[in-house]
Amino acid sequence: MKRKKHQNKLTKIDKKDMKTAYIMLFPAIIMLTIFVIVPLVMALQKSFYDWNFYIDSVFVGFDNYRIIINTVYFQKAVANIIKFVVIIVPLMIIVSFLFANVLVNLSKKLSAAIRTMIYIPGIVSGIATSVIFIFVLDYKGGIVNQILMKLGSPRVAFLNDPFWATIAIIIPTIWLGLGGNTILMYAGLMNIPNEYYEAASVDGAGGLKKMIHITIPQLKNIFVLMCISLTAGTLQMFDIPYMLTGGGPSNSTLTPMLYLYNNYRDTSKGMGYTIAGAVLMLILITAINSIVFAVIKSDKSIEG
Amino acid sequence: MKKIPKKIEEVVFSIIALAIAFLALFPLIWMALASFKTKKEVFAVPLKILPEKFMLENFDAIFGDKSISFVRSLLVTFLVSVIAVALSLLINMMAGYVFARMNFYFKKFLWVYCILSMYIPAMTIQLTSFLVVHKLGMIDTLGVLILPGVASGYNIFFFRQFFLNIPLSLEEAAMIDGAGRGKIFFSIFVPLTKGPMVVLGAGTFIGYWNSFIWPSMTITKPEYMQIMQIIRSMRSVYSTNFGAVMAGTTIAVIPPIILFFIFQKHIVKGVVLSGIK
Repeated sequence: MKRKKHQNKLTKIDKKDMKTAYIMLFPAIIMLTIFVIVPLVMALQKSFYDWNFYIDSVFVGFDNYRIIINTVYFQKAVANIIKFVVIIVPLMIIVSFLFANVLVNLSKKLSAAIRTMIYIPGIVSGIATSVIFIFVLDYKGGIVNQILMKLGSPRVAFLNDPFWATIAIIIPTIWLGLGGNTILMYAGLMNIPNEYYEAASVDGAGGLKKMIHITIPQLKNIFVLMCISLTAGTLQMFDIPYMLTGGGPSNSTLTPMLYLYNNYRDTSKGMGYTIAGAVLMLILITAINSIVFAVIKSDKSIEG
Repeated sequence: MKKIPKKIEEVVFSIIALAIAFLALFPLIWMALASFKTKKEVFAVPLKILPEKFMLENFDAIFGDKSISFVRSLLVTFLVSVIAVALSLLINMMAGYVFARMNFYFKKFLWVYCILSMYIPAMTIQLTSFLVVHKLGMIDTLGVLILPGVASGYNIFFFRQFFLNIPLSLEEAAMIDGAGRGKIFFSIFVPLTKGPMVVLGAGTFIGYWNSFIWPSMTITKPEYMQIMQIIRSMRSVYSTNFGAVMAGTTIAVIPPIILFFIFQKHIVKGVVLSGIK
């Protein structure tokens, strides 16, 4: 609160300081400009031109947007990613919520040890994760199929069937994110004052009632934040489908980022409409992110 | 009477939690075990959980393979990640300090400029970033691996939040003694910032170590190949020898895990803070 007084009034000392301030800020600003802002402006601009690495740019207005919206592969990729968001986001939230509720009932030592263990997969890269799951889900000798056989079920060709390929991508995605999200939920649970539960017990409320009337409403902010950040993250899904299925079979796991990446690599194609697709994703993700601001009431983050 | 069910409840929960923790670690354990197995054992039917004898041939194979230069890639990736961490801490901390403590023209504008950058998805600017570094002649250099991710709106935000909580009286005393801003920053603020430095430094390291898309777009020279690019190509080169792929992947995931264990307490706390704020 103290610093409020200082604000918006440049005193003499501040003026002397100003040079120092600009010098200390310079590296960050210049880097962000070169590697974020300039590419962003270029992307916006180039989405209105027909061009690739070999031909000159021609202004085409909104044509690129029309083309990309009507491109079957892009449509498929967007439909797929909506499918992944709709499955992964609620699944992750429910599983981490339940698991966090298990953790709060453990002894302190055990719960700390388990939080450490479950966090480890989150550090593993998407590429490495994919390689591991290719191995685990292998048709013939993979451990999952061998266990299925033992249980009397037939083998599953995880990567060759659209339905199972979707499952094969969801499993490692959950595996990677479960630890971090559970720890967040756990922290949220620990923040709920114990008195609430004690008061409810006095009133004779059971476990389920307490969860519905105390736990879930108290965690509302965490649910919303997690929902939004998971959605924004899932929309950019790349590593796992890229390595595990390459977007197949028959494009059932093609994601927008994978589609864009494949197009970037094919230099013979026109780049304008690919960039237009990237800009459309920006608009979508920005729309979702702006909900974050609404939720945390923007005051904390925007106020200088 | 009431205490007994509580105890049983705790035992049941402990078992569930341990089972999930085991499932979380199992793929990694399975990978590590496979790296010691022979070709036959890796996909043996019925399953062989442990190898007949822990053999190192898979590791020999990948270390000795000149076509993938595995060890070199580990070193280069490590070097890139460490330099990136150092630069990123310095640059973002300075910016965070300036926004927390100093007044200057266009402050609000520059603050929004930094913060907005964190909401621009990588996928949107990937291709045009490539065009930029291409124009700058940075393709196939260490610079193209290190520099683009160094400045981070998120890290600036995080450092600023931290500095705002440091009492003003600390630097006022130093100012009266005639210390300049630079001196105050390096001798007072930097030493106080160990916690956030560990959290953000570890995050930056892991991000660089695990990065794949950007290196795969900008690096074609074998001597600068990043470790995840190597893992990706091993998957096709060694498609018939999964033990070797697993050996390579095992080594590739170890450095971030070691880092995590060293700074575990800070990192887990950081996850919580960044989520709740």
